[in-house]
Amino acid sequence: MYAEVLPAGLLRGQVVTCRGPAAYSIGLGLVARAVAVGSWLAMVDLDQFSPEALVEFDIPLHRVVGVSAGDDLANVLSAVFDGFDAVMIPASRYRGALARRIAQRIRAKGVALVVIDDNSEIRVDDTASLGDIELAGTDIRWEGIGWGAGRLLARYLTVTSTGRRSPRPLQSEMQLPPENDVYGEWSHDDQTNGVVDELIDRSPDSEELRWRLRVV
Amino acid sequence: MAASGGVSSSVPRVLTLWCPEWPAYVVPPVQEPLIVLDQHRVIAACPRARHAGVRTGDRRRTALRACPNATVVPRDYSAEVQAFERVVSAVAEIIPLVELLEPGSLCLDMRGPTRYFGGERFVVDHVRSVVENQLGAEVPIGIGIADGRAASAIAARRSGAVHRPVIVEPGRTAAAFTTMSLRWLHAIGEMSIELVELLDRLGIRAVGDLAALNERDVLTRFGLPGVRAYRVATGADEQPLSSVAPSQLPERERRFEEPVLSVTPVVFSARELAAELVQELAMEGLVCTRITVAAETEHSERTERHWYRSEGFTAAAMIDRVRWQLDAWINESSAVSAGVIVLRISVTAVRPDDGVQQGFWGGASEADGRAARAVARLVTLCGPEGVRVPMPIGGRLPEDRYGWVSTTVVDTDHHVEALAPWPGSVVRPAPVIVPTDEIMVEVLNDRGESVGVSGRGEMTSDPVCVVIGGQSCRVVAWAGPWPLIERWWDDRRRRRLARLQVVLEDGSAHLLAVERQRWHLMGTHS
Repeated sequence: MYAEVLPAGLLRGQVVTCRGPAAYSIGLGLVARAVAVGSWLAMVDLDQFSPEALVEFDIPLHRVVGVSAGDDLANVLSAVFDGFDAVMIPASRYRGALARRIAQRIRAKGVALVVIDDNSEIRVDDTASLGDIELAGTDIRWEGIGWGAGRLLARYLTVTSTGRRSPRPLQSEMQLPPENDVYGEWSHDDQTNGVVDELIDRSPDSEELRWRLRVV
Repeated sequence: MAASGGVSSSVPRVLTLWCPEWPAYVVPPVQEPLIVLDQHRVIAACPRARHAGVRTGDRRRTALRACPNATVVPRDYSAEVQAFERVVSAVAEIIPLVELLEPGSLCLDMRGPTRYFGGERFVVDHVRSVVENQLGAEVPIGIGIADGRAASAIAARRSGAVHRPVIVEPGRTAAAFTTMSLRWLHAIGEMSIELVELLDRLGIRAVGDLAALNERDVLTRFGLPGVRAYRVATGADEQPLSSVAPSQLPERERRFEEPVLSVTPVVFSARELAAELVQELAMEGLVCTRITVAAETEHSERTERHWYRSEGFTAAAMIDRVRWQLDAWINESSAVSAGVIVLRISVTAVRPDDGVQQGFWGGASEADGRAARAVARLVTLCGPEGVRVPMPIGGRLPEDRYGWVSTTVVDTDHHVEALAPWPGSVVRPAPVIVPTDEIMVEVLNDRGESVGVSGRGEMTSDPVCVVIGGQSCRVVAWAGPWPLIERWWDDRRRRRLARLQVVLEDGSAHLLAVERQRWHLMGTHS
């Protein structure tokens, strides 16, 4: 699903910013595969986040931990980076001096950081310049709901990725939350997926694989 | 005295002191009624709030409906322990070997004191006067004496409710608690809530019902946890206060080269000690139920407290106790004049691990182990409330279906992830953001008037515009309303509302609800 916008997958040491009214879903879809195969996800200061969404993205609840950082965010984040492969944080908490300070640690620890920016107003270059890749959801289309009829059924949207190192934006049409067995079809046809289990923790010898935490 | 002689069993007499509203009394005084929340549930309240109808276990919204002008504060463990420290030292002056259960609750072995003071009633009088000296007479306390810890904990809770000490004669435990609900056994940590509910469905609701069963039947049907509860119910408490020679039990000590002046680094090193202890015991299939935490400064000032936890100590629970104790000690200005040089945790009582206590996350892979260590570290940084795991709870509204629970409460790797169907809930996809506070919204029609839902469950007119947080947005699609009436039989928890899904022009979708003619935001699909 994300293969078209993130050809290399979600990499360790990378900061991905998700924007737009579907920012949370884009972020969840991004980490879903990694958590499903054994990585741990920390959700820092996302107090209003409803765990039910995790279930819809097939993310196992027992590998997710919510952290309320309080004032000492820098220290808390460094503890989080020690133990978690994937970390989600709202853009309001990840900005400015702090972001610059922990950028080095993110790379050193090999954490994939997903920054959620669902408030389109605070569109400052501050956070944009700090993320390696930006995923923005546009053209959101809800299916199943009409004018006083039906109900929300499925959401289709166009996700555009822009990044410091990618020459031109990549686009992909996707459904979020995914259909129930959307990941099933990926498990056998993609060679790299077979080794996802290993590359997350159980094969210290293949150094290169350890650094990749591909999602799709 | 009847206490020391008469009973044939080796079950010791135990006194438990319990301050029912302790979390509320340590908060600096405020004018309004006061409610203390823990994990979004009421755990304590001042008498005025209680009078208004606030009950333990209520959600924030239910509590505020009963008592709208109340001040709501979160639980503050360190303040609770610190304030309780006065009581503990005062009691320890007349009776040594006080065991702390949690902030606001302690227990002690009655054998010595009964003989010394000449009877259990006299001990109760002494303890009560000492505690009232410290706290003043207006703080409610419960004092219970019975065979074994569990029974005395129940006695103390009943005593808190009837406002006089409760003394259960030796060997009369089962008779005394016959009519009490099994939920009390859960409240004192002797039974899991799942087991309580299972027994409830089988028609076993009171302590007496459980005690009337055959022990072997209980074992075959409910396993060891069932037997543990059974033994409490029948008054055969499973363990004497000290059963194994202390010398055989493990202890860990950490000496600091440089005296440490603040709590955090000490707690941080306690983490290692606790993990080692728990692991060492787990290798032998044991869990510890009682620990002694001691610390010493350069100037030989000492703090030593005994902690008891009937569920058994996990590493996280041990670390909590160390932090509470040190916080209370260091913040008491006169006690400490130099840095800490020694920290010691000794295990003083163990029992076989009957499977009630799961390993902390019980991780198998290296990633699990790393995460478990990070979680323990985060608990010392953010406090037990700052680190939470998602849990299915069940309900029809997004806010009820899943919740975040403190890791120190769960610490198990057993998760039920499927939720029962709950007819009446809005089906998938679920809103991703569910506001913790009530956010008011306005729903307007094409003439700019407020839209409502009629008693027949129909919209009074088409919603055209929604105002959320002062921002007005055009509606491009909507569906509903879906009425919901929940718990109509319960005056306090009943809800009558109608839900509406709207898609706004920027592509965002929201779940709104109208309750008592007012719209609020129930969730956002982000």
